Amino acid sequence: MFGPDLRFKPKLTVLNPAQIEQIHQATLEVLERTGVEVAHARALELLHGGGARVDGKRVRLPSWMVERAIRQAPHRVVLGDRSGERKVFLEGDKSWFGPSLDCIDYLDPLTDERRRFVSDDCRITATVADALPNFSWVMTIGMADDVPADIADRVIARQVFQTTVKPLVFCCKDANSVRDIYEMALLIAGSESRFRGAPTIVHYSEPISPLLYYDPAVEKILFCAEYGIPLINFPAPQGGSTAPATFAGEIVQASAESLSGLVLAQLARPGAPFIYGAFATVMDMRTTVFSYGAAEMSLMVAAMSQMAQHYQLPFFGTAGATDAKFPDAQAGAEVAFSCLASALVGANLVHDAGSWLDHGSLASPAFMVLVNEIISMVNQFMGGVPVNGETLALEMIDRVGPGGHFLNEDHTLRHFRDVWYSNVFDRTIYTAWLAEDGRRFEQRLRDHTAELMQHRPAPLPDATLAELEKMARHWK
Amino acid sequence: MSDTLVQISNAVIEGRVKDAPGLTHNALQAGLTAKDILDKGLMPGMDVVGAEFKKGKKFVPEVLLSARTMQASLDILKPLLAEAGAKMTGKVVVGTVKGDLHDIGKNLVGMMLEGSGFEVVDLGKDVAPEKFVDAVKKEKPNIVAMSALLTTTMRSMGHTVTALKEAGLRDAVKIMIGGAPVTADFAAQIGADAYAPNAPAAAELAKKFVSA
Ligand code: B12
Repeated sequence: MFGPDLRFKPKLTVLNPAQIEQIHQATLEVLERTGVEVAHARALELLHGGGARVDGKRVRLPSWMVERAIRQAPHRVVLGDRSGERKVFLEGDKSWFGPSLDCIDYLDPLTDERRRFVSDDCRITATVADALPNFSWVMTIGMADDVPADIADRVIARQVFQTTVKPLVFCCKDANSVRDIYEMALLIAGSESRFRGAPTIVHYSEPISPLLYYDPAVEKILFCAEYGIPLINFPAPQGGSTAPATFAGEIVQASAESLSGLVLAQLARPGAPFIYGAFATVMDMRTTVFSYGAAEMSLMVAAMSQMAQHYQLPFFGTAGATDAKFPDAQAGAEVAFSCLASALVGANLVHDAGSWLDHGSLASPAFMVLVNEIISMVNQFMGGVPVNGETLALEMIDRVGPGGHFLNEDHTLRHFRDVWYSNVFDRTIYTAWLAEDGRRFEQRLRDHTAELMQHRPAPLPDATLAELEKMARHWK
Repeated sequence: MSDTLVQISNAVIEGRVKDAPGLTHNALQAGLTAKDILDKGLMPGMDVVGAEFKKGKKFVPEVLLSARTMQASLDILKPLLAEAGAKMTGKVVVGTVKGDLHDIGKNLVGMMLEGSGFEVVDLGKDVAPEKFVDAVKKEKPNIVAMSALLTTTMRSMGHTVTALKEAGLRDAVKIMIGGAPVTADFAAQIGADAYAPNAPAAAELAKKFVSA
């Protein structure tokens, strides 16, 4: 694992070191001067005790508190799969793609029919996420509209636990729901110590931009810190509406929002695993839509990812979503752009890949398959250009000489598989394509998706399933 | 149409907030009534702005700037309108329903309604059905506008309609709803009067309600 790897990983930066420093100082200034609003009594007590200037609900954080919290938090977080194997390493500039959550509607991949997302759709999307190799972890993808609203968050979390072995990043309504989901995770892990060895869940909580905390969000932060559940504190600012329209201003506000949660978490329990980030995008001023496919979103995600690397905090990124209503050309373009940017800058836990069509409202297994394919392409690119004696191939170049060819060379046999081949992108010769079946891209995507939907994930033991069923009966 | 009114319309269209008070005073001095200025100067200006937005020519901040221009004039006209017993376009109670904290859409709807000459009473977010009922009793609005962004909270819109019915107030108001998961079918299903997909459409709908 630590052997020499002389490969150069392609790298993108959007901020230079001086800009990083300026953004950092500006972020500290916002927290010290403007602060955040928190109403939660215990949190106010903790913050006050920790050195914050508390004035009613307004909490101003002196810079030393913020910088101390940054140093206190773990610089890496490792997630495990159902078997307890440590799988997802959130460290340095490693990127791990995963899907998204809480879609309102479901787009049937075979018929293109759009309707409400129900709990059984969650089984299908989790099945496809389990099958797709480039999703290293999962989210709940949709919100179940067919079960009582009060327990919908746990119904879908359970569905995902039963359907995939991959780590789960989840959002839910309050600390009570976090507890229920944590208990399911403990049950599946087998014991608390096994869970600690490789946490299988990450909770995603949200401050409200600009600079505001509602009690349930605060309670979730405190609960996660206390139980060692890795926590993402993830505001969703939109430039021009709930944040400045300038990219730097939005990044500073977003960073202040995320870091204020870090301070609280570290006060609740020093060393609590924390993942920094923000869903920073723009409001589309022609439609009022919160854009999920904007180039500016990728730019701000890249900048914040660099801030995370500067802080040595794991980062929760955003890529692979689209404002398009179908997995079409627009979707492909927006996804390819955002995924490549995220990988190049080295965003760690990159969410939204392939499950947010139509700006966060629509899920489709076919879209997931398309995005998985695009991530394969990105990963291929990220492999860089290995340079060594074997790859430089000077002997062979000399031997084959001018006018020869390489088709029969052993070297070719050894390396032609270094090239990536797609399951859905087509390169056949036109006449052969016509003669075969003449399937256009949409049809190939549909067919391939239908195959993947037949995937059968490893089931949980019967005893565990029975226990989950019992737990469900007590959900409030 | 008088020159002054055209100038007022143009100020609204171009979003010249600073010019609005002066132009309004000029119009009043020239003998125009507050009602004339509203109906024949400000409103036609906002209509143009709305149409430009629809065509994708004006963007939200520009529309809001026009709305602010109209407000600057209305600040002067409101007391005069009240004196003359003339009515503003109408009154709307807006709020994001119970359990829901998404308020940007609701805020935009409120601002666009104000920009169309409505008086807006904003109940904020996480507003329970009883609060809507109380506000209707107290404010006597023409319209109740509810926003929900979650499939889990949109049911509260239905509860509010029921609560208004039970309080005997349903027929006193028009009810419009909106937000990401909301549809026209859903509006019909819960007995609301209409749905609109975005803020400018909400303003248009509101104008239709009061002119009907
Ligand atoms: C920003 C945002 C947030 C912010 C809200 C901040 C704020 N101050 O409002 C924060 C981060 C706090 C948040 C929290 C949550 N959110 Co949220 N959020 C969004 C997001 C990305 C954008 C919403 C927005 O502001 N759009 C811009 C505004 C201008 O547009 P709009 O609200 O749609 O309003 C326009 C129209 O709808 C219409 N309109 C609106 N109201 C009305 C009313 C009337 C009368 C009329 C006529 C028209 C009308 O006109 C408006 C202007 O043109 C949406 C995604 C989406 N597709 O909507 C998710 C989304 C709505 N959120 C969602 C969820 C699930 C949540 C959370 C539960 C957790 C989570 N997953 O993020 C919490 C819930 C908190 C709570 N109890 O309410 C889901 C809903 C899924 C579902 N099935 O219900 C969405 C769809 C995203 C997703 N897939 O996860 N969220």
